[in-house]
Amino acid sequence: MNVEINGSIFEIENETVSIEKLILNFNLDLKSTAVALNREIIPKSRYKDTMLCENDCLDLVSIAPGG
Amino acid sequence: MSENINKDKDVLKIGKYFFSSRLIVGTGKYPDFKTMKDSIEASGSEIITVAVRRIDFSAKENMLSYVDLDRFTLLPNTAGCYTADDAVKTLLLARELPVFKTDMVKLEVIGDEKTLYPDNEELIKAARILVKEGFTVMPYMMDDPVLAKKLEDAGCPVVMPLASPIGSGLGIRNPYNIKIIKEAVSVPVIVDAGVGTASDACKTMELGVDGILINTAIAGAKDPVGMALAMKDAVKAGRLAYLSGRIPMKLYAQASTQMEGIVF
Repeated sequence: MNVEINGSIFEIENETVSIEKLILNFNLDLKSTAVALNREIIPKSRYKDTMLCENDCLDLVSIAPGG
Repeated sequence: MSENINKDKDVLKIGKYFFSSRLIVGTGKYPDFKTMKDSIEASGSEIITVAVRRIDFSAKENMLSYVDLDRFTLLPNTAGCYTADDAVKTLLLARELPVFKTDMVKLEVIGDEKTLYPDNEELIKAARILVKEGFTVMPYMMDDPVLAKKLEDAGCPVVMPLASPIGSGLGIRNPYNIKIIKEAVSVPVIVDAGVGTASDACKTMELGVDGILINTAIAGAKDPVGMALAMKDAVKAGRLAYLSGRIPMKLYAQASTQMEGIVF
């Protein structure tokens, strides 16, 4: 299935993938990653049981330099 | 040292949090992460501001490897947000990041791209929502005493008027308004944006404000670490001068050497 992640389209082979699994597959640290799925904020407690669907739009965010 | 001022215990209180440094520094615009790390450490700051952004998968380095989370309180900002809704959403998203160990947030809602002046209406709207959400809201605002009072009334435990536009380095353009703001509100006043060099920081602190937030003046200096050290000392000097009380200005000279006992 195709999923938009941070503005780019990614093809995901596994049809049942959770947000947690996706974060780990990207080699990201769960503690320093926040998630918005289709513009809605997903609480950390739901990463494990929230499954991605075709054409989902995901934002994976963290801290960046700023004033 | 004066008996009625305990300068050793002069702490900055923001909501339920206490800090010994009155300088807050930003993490943007540094030439590299190593310089950023060295500069924020040299500044003696305890609070550093950061943005919340999409992860860049192609980035070679992670900012987090250069920030000691046990040493610094990270303050998420809402830079780039032009509506209350966007600012609130950004901070609700930031709340899901455990790197933010407190509920302190820097709220900015920009109203104009060229000046980066805040949108007062959206700022107050966002502040009210975020206060209700339980955040310790630190609003970047115009140097407007009426607005400062409104933000205090909205529940902000600190107000952060600009000295001059963000990144301009113009220094404090309206010191009188800053003084009026300090009188108008009972919460601490932190001057955010516009400080260009150490003398600006010192003069700002001499007005009696409670702290300063600096980014570009340090990050953009020829030697950021050197400027961070200068800002640290300037903030301390300005604060101490304020607490110690400057002499009134006079038009004519007043001899500092006694005339009594003069020989010729």
